[in-house]
Amino acid sequence: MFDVLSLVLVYTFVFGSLYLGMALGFTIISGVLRIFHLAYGALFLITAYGTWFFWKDAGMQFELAILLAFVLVAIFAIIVYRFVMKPFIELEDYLLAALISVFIIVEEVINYLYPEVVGVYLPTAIVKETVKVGAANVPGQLLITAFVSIAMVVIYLIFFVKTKQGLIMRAISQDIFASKLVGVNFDRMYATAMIVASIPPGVIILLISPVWALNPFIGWSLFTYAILVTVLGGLGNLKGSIMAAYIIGFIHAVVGFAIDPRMMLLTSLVVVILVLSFRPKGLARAETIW
Amino acid sequence: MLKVSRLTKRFGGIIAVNDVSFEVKKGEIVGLIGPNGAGKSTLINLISGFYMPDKGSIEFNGKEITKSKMYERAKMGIARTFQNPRLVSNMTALMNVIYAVLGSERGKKISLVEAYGEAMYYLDLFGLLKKRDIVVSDLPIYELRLLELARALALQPKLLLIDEAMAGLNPAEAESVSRLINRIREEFDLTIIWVEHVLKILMKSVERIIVMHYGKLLADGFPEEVVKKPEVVEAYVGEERV
Ligand SMILES: Nc1ncnc2c1ncn2[C@@H]1O[C@H](COP(=O)(O)OP(=O)(O)O)[C@@H](O)[C@H]1O
Ligand SMILES: [Mg+2]
Repeated sequence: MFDVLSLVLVYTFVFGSLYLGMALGFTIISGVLRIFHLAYGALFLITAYGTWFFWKDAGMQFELAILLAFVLVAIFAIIVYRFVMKPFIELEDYLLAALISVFIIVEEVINYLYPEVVGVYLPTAIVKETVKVGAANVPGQLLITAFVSIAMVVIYLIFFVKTKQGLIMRAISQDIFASKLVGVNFDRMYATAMIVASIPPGVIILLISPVWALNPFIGWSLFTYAILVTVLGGLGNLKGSIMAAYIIGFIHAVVGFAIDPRMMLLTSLVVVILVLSFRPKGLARAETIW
Repeated sequence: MLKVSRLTKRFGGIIAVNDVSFEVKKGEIVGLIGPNGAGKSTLINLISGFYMPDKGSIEFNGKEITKSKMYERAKMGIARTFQNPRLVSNMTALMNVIYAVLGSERGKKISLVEAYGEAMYYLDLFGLLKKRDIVVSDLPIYELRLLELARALALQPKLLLIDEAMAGLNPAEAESVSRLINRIREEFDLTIIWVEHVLKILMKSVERIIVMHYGKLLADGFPEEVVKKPEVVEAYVGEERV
């Protein structure tokens, strides 16, 4: 009994932190731009496969390849903002259709270049052993990823609370009109938010790829977690997303170890729908990023 | 400083601002009056960039700004208040002003701590220091009007557009707002266009009055002379009948 309890606790932490890391960028985009970024899943893919491209195909040093992959994903974020979001920002249907198309195009291009049989593998493992925590044997790499997730959230919170840009983004997330009124170039802040938000998914996928093998369609499953967490949290509020991530982590830990791992996603989806039918705005009440 | 030429703005069949031209010199304080629906707010909205005109042009400090965006005009030094205050309602009074400090041209150069200090200074100027941590949605209309002025001032504007600073205030509050506006005008060397629905308090505070009626410019001149003009009297009498 205690074993199950400690297993659930440890995995609540691990899953919750991972999901939070996956959702961090999505929450920021939902909160600051007020856009449901349906191409978010592409960010995972571009960083992972970009690293592979620069490393294997272009023959660069591995660290440099990672760096360039982040540059690439930032450029992608800017292009999506400038040529998809900006022109369609008032036309929600078009915007969503365009974003999902972008995601699918990225996915198909990657699937064409690196189909699953290519066996893309990134040597990003920091710890190869499993670590015993209580009764749980957790892959050390997942623990590392969990801690990095939390570290990223802390860094972003400091950014939102302690820096000028962060404060401006928070204000934009509450009231875009007031921003225009006080002379804030919201266009540039939106673009900045897009770049800021494109870093966490890349970090997460690089860290978990040794554990969860890469394939060209992995963007979807990671994106699903990001959506679940962000929607349950209140679509663009970090406090809400933090709560939501650990609630879903808890559900997955319980269902995964006590019931049936194949029921994890379904159960959390049902819970999210139930919560939303009672609280349509999600867990957080505030309409602001923090 | 400000030159408005043949400005026109339509809303469907209504011509809210109809072929309006005037100039405002640096340091002037101009009252803009007219009955309800005369087009005063629309004119302010056009000058601040909230609406784009259908026709005509706007020049600010010798620069054509007709097509500039609202935030660009704010950065150039055109600040405004609203008939219905438009602050960030779930942020505190202080944050609203800090936000304006950061948005202004010098916002890039100063630190968050300096911005904080400046914001406190502007709040103090309007006697709002004690209210700094109160969320805007909990403030009464009088304080909202003061806070909007504080926020506008925090942009360090050259031209301040005030849209009905007195509406919804009791006479004592209106008097004190009027005194504050005159004080900041002198202290900060401002040029002001001040819209008011009622004449009385404006008369004492401004050097020049522009009257609008049905979107058109009806009169423009010294307050005492303008209010005696028959067409102005008629416009206001017309309103009283409504
Ligand atoms: N956004 C708008 N849409 C449609 N009509 C408007 C709009 N804004 C103002 N109007 C109309 O334009 C006219 C002038 O309004 P306004 O400028 O608010 O007058 P004032 O501020 O002098 O009372 C009114 O007839 C008003 O109904
Ligand atoms: Mg008005």
